[in-house]
Amino acid sequence: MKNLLTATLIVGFAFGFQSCKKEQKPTDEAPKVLKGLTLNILPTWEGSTMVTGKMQYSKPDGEVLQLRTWGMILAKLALVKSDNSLVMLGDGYQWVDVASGRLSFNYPDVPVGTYKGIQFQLGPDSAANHGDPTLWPANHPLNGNLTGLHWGWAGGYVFQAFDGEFKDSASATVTKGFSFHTAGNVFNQLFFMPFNFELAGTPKTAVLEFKADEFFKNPIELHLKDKSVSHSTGNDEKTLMSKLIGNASDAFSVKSVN
Amino acid sequence: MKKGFSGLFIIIVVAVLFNSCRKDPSLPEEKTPYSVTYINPRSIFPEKYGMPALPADSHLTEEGVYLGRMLFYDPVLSIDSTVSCAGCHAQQNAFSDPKPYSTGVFGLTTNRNAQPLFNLAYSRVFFWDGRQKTLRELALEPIQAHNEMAMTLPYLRKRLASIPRYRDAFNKAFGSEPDVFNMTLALEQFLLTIVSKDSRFTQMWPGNFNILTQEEKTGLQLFNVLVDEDPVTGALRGGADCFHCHGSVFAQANNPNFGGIANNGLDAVITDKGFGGITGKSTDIGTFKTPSLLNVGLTAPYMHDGRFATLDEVIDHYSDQIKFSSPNLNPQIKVHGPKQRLLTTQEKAALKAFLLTMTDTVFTNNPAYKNPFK
Repeated sequence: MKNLLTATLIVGFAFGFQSCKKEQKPTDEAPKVLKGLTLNILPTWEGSTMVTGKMQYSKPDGEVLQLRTWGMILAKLALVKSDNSLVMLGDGYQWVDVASGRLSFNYPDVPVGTYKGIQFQLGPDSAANHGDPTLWPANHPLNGNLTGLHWGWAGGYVFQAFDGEFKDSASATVTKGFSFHTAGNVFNQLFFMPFNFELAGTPKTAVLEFKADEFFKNPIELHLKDKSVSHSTGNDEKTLMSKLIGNASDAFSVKSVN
Repeated sequence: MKKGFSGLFIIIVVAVLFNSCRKDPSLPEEKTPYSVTYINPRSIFPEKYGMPALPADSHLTEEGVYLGRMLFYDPVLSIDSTVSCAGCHAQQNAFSDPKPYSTGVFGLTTNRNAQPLFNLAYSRVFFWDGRQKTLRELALEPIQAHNEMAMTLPYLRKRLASIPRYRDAFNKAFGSEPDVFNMTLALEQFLLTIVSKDSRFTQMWPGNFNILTQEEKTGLQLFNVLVDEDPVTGALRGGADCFHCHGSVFAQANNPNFGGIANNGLDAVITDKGFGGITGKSTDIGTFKTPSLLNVGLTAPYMHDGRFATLDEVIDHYSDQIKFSSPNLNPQIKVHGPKQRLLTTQEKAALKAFLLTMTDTVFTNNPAYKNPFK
């Protein structure tokens, strides 16, 4: 009887204390050491910060332009490790909007390590590109209502919208519009920005320079007075867009990681 | 006796142990002086629209929405109890005003055309000049505007507190006496629930074109296709490129920086600064919030100043009368300047036919939005 009482008390205590414990998830793997990384996008023209609404950006051919919209949908945004493996930042999607200053993105949980660069793809893959934009949460970069960078059921996403006004020369008084909307899966190209850096110790900030002037030169110089519109549709506009995106191979770089 | 003692002891031990898991009894119990019925947002917002970003601090409740509806229709919100929100936002007109400028208290008139009210949960800025970013802030403006309801908030609080139906409704919705903050939350809740989703255009989305007539399909094509240039004559042709600013299932761009706030070339000389009057930036002067084209057949007159009485006049403007020298003209329009699109008579008729598919009479007759006092 005494044994029974003792056993009951032990079971009772054990059961009672167990019921007070918080539920714990099983730990299959050792916790990763994580550091924060902030990506700051720096839009530039010829090395200087570019802002919207200033008619002051001169091209080599004398044309002067001002920017009104520069929005981008980035996909597969990731850090590239020295062994070429990828560390996706968030779910890899991001929406850059120069006009509203949406240029800084914080990722609190990035594994420590040695990295050799940062990459992104301009625009999502085909499946997401032609999926339903309303299925994404209201604040997700692929929510079409949030960004406006979606062309309805037929066109998918606008990967990059680069719009504004230009003059033929600095002294010209007449302004005209330009509009370059990159879309369609042929243009969702991957850009790799090489830069060796370590993530350890304190959180770091990477500055990514997005050089708008590069779209219009090297290797092919583009003159807005010849054609200033491309929505990536139709042969002429696709040809112009392929030149613009072709020029963009030098448009994106990592300026610093500190 | 020994057996009985042992059993009792075990029961006491187990009871004490289980009791030790409970909250400290010295802490006050959480009180719920009122109970509300929460509304599942999925019952309000259709799947094809997606879920909007709703206020995190104010969940939709039956009681809150009903109180907001009472307030919306009640002229006691105006200083002389003659003007209600609904006086300038009539349901049969998609909650817009058929007059270019609305009439407020003492016969005073507003400075701009009253905008329709629907699908506001998906908008990020409000008023023609985009000066407010939340519906609760929006609600306070007409109530206090000298030429609309001319009410002061302290006096309004007192007035609402003196009316039994509001004491009761505020208590049911918020467990409180009438107060201004909760009033704005109730109005916000009601406005959030006003959804237009049953037009033929919305039924068609995203691609059920068979429900359209041939003329409407032609209009759809014009709406969604870019303007092109004839390589021989240089004349503009192809589509009418409406979709850049009025695309999506909402027929409206909601990103203020990408078509959501724009200058559509009404005037060469700007007399109303619009968004520029709020930001102070020269690059925003003459720009206004892009309205949704849903229910556009019901929301005449058009533009921020109600200058166009008919849809035909609106189409004529975009076809033939763009002022390309207008400062800050939207780049999508400006790229074709100084050439006008010059739609044919048939094209204009087709475009109008398509725009009229956006009329939603289920919405304009929805009893959930009607005057609760009738």
